[in-house]
Amino acid sequence: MKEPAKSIQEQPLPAIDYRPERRADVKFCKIDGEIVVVDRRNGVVHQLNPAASLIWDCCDGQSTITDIAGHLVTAYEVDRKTATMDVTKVVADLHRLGLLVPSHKEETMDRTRSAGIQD
Amino acid sequence: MPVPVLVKTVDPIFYEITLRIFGCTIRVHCSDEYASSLLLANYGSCQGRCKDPQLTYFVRRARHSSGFIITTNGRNTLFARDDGDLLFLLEKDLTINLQMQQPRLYFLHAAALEFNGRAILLIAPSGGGKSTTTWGLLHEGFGYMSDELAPICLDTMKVYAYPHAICLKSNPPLPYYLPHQIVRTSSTIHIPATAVPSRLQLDPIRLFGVVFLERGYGQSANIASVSKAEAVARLYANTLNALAHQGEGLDGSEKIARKSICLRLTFDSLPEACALIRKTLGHLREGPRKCSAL
Repeated sequence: MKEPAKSIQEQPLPAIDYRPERRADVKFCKIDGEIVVVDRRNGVVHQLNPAASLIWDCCDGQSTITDIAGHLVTAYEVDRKTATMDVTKVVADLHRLGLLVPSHKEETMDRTRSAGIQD
Repeated sequence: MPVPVLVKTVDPIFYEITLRIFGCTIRVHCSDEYASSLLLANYGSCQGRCKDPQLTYFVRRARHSSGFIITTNGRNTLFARDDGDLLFLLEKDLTINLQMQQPRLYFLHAAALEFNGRAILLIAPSGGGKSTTTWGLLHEGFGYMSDELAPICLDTMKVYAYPHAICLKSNPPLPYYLPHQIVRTSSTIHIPATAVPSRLQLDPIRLFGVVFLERGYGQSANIASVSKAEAVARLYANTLNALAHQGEGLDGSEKIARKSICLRLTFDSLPEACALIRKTLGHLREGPRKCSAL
């Protein structure tokens, strides 16, 4: 039986200098700007919308949340604060879905939502 | 006192059925008259000739029950508790073996029909109406290819036919009456391919479109384009031999989505759904490739 999903306030959020990395064993393809991810280990297929697809593309283990937010600002002409919040949320969701390489404890997962996000 | 001797009896073979499916040759030896008639009704349109079949099945009655024993290539043995189970288990084993014999084909859990010389796939979860919708569309001018297995050659994008009997779990709604040639088992209704009201499409033909079926209880039938990404996800979820293909099968789903029209049909009334599918596909076959009008 699955645990009930945590609310967004309860989910640990990645710090802005965190470098998310896709799991090497998940397959994905990009079609018409959207990414389809196949997670055979968990038996799930995910379809990402264009914004989430851009974030997924940037989850290379090198780019920080801040870096990824910068790409979002350019692509969607949104302000940096909104972009950072969106990237943080999507990365947290990708973690929850088990699609990213698990983060080490040393890489801070900031539990304070308001304090962790800066312009 | 005479010593009892165990005498091994050999079942006399009453019937031998040779099938040719996707280029694979299969022979079924059946020592039970009822079982042989059941198999002939189910696979009669798949019959072919060969000297040395690639797959061999033996079917006989179980000695101490009302079930059947199925033996594959003299090795694996399955016990079917009744006639419905016999067809189910044989079909399941055959499907696995066909995938192993033809790994180059991309096997989809889908119904396949012919429309104006091109193949249309229907995809839905089990119990979602694939076979019933297939039966309905056969009354609307579509040709019959398969009701649940649609292998595709990814190089040519041709869909191969598997015209075994249409298997329904319950009586179809009006006005799509069942023919008198049906076979009822413990759990299913089988309509032999020879009894369909339309033509059989036996040669492989190029894929035109994929329709994902969804039940919408109480709703009017509605058909709309799906994004290519959604089509890829849905196709992949219905791929049977994904790991036999490049990119763990994801490449195949992507190619099929890119090269075909992908639609989602939500319906409650089967006649309404069939009419909408025919009208939509007719429009698309004549007009632009993109479904911008939907």
